Amino acid sequence: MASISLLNPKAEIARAAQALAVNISAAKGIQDVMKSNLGPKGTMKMLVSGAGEIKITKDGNVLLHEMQIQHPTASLIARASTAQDEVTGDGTTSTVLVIGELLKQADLYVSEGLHPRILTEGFELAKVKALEVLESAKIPVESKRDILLQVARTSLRTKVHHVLADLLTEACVDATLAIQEEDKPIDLHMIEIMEMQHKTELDTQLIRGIVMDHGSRHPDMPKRVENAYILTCNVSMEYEKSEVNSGFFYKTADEREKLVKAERQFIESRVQKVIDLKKKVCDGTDKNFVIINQKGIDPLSLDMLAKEGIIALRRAKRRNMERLTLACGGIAMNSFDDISESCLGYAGSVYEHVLGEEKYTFVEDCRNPRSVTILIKGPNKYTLTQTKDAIRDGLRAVVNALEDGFVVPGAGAVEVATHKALIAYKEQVKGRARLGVQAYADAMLIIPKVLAQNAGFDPQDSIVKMQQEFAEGGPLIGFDLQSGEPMIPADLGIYDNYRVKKQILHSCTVIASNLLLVDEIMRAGLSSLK
Amino acid sequence: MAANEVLTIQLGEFSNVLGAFWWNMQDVAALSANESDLVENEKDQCVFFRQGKIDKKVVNPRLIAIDLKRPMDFPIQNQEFHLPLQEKVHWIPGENAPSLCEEISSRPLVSPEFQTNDFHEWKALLNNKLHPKSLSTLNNIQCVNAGETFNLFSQGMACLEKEDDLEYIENQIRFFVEESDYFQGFNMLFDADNGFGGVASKLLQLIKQEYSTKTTFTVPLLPAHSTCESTRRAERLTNLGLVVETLFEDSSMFSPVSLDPLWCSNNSRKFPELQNLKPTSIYEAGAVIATALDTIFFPLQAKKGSLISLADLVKKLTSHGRKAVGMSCAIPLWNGVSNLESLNSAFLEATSVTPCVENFRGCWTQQLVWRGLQNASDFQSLVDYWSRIQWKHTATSNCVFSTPSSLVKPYPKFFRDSAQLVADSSWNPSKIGSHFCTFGGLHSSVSLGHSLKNLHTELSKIEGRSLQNFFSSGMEQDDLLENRDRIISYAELYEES
Repeated sequence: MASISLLNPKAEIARAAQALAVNISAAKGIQDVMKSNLGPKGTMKMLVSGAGEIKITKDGNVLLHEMQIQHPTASLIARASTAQDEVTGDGTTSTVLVIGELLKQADLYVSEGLHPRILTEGFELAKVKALEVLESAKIPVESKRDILLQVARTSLRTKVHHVLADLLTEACVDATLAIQEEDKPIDLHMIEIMEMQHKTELDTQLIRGIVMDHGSRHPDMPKRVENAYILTCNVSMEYEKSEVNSGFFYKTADEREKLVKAERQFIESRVQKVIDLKKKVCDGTDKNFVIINQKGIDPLSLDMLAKEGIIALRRAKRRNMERLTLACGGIAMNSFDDISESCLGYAGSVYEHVLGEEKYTFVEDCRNPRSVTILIKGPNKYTLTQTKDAIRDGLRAVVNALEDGFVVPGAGAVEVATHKALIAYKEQVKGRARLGVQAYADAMLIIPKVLAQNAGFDPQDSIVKMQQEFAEGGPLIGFDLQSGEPMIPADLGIYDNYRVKKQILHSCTVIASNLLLVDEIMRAGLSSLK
Repeated sequence: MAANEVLTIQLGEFSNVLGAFWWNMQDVAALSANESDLVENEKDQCVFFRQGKIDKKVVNPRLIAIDLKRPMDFPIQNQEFHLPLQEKVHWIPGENAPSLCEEISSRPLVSPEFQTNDFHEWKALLNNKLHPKSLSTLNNIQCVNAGETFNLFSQGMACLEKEDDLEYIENQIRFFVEESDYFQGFNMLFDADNGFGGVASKLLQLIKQEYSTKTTFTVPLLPAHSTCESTRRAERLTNLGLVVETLFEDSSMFSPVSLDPLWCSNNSRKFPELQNLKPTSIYEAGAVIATALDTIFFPLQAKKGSLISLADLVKKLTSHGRKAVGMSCAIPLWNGVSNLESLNSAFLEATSVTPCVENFRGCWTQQLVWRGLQNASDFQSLVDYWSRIQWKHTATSNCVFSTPSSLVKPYPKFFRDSAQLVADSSWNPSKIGSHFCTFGGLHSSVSLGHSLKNLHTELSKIEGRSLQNFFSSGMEQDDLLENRDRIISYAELYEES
């Protein structure tokens, strides 16, 4: 009888070996679920939500978010891998696999009577060694664009079809390079991701400018202009009642008309200022004028602007205001009191695209855009979300590589090298802790094994081939999923993010050790608080 | 001139049910307005509805409805969906498509037995088609498991912390505002006694920040509960306290509405004509309150004469920062009101739907709406005269319309009985179908101060022990104490100086 039962007779408990068994089986369970989704050859999962929404994905993070995990241990692992996603944006499936495998390997020894504490000590030692291996394997990012492309491609190919992945790779790298500024952290918010339910996902493209999901509201405004000045502003051009309590006092209809006109005058003078500026900068040239306003513009003001051939967009997104000035240059104006040519931005072309009831406005061909848009297209909702998730991860991969300054070879190469190093290291470890190192080394192999298995090759066979090749010395050896033969990842351009691998080693060791050291699980919460 | 658009935002289950009734009623009014032999064409539906670009007759509500994310419960166990075999639709595309539409429209969506809380989704009650951007769910709630609750104000606040969710809703709002030419403001219905209070407060802050010049009229709703354990009651009251504070801060005007005298025992909410109304059924309560709202909002949509803009309405009723107003209604109003004598009894019929508020006593300003009266102009002068005599110190404005309220399926059945009653007495309902007269009013009066004081007293009685959930969700005792002080200072606004 566990002592907790004396304190709370309603508590549910699992002790010692039983507790460990619960944890290990949960970890194995979640590992089994995620296993088939790893790598470029991984299969997909179809998720049907309670409301009937469908998602088809193999992104580990999306899967773990959407599956309602009940088991406490499994949800702990899921949270660890969500944290992985938040830190690095990739490696969620790997995290789950490695944790599961660590526990599985540990289980072999524990069942033979080894105390979990000793195993975890071995894990700690092994982790330090593994990080050393990782450190020695890293490759500096030199010829920027190429290596970034390769990193992004490696990440994206594990999420979507490889044709689409190659397309997105270019978009992600170019987008990130466009917004990158020297000595400043990269703000991914400056890459707008816009969805358009239209054509196919292969029409997804990078727009070096801004796409907005609304158009002008006046039929006479031009639909397309070239060589345009862009005025970004946050000034109301709507007729509104004055804030203070006021009334009209008039005797005749004429007088009332005058009063109405006078009130209207206030807004008209604002619009007139814009028109004056337009006349000043555009008259006699082939330039055009576009005004993008965060506040409203009412039909009468639109009319005035339309007469001058100005395109006016109202109620732009707050976030777009910042992006517009980055993309086109110029300053976002909060009043028209001192507008001049220096406040204006520039775009090579501004045009409207109509899709059914929805209008999109493209602001393109900017001179030096520091904010860009990735326009996702897709025939249906779920393709759009799939592409969007993939792009998010691709962007993260590029940013990680830029920030780290290093990448590591992919395709299971690091894991195989770590295994070899750990086996050698084991001999130096004294006492039973070396068993923990052995378990850790074996667990590392899960990644190449599953990669091979998902590609339809025999896991053992592939591992042995890689190890043989690697034992002969030379560079790190990865696994070619096309041919089933060992290869040098650098030749094929398969690179992973350094920080992803590092984070995996850290978090998996900690979670696995914690789970191993659990000797009692109790659910003894107050029932009323459930 | 084009309509002055208003965007409606509904938060929470009760609000959505109520909203469903409200949209149903409005739309029928629109239908009958097209057939001009029924009633005078008084109403401009573009205020609350958005029109199709090509086909002007296609309208859908200018609405954002926010709900919890939950698995859809298909109402399989409801009898009305057990259709006999021969009624089954044969799916041959193209061939009998038109008859299919007729069949569906002629079939009552909800049977008259449908009286209790046992329906599953508010969308099943709604007859209108919604724009896809109208719907949204709160994704970021940790407690989506069945049986778990979304009971606390602080939960609501927390679930919009994450920027993505807030931005999604912000974009929805922007979408509707962007397409409006003369946007005048927001009309917000929300469940005030659970987590949606917090959501509403976040949204109000957003609206205040982004659309500072627009008016927001909010209606916090309190669904009635038949049984309520003391902890839950304490939570509901505390939520309400917090909601009142935000509304005084961030909205332009608000009118709390409930059929449940939550914080005052003496206030019984009896509708003289609706004997068998069950206030605890959100289906029935929703229908009644929707009728009241429909009446009160009518002047905003009037085509001529008594058109009022939201801003004017608010300005009229909220002097000296008294943003809380009381709401009253009479459903149905006897059609017989035509002389001074009967007018007196008409006012007796009016019931206040704001807790602890007496309608006509100590009023500073009030806005009364009468609907369904045949000779509107005669009645207008009569009631103007009457109110001048009756309430010397009250600024009363009356709006009289000949367009009545309309009964639309799935309206609760109790009402049809009373409509039948109307039929028996001197009024021939067959002439204009299932329409009836209503009265609704908004009042800015002394008694709201009393109501707030009562709320304060009740809040002070709550022991900290019953608010354990609040404290564990990150609220501090001091916040709540501060909130109580605020409420008392708001109540002081209503003291006669």
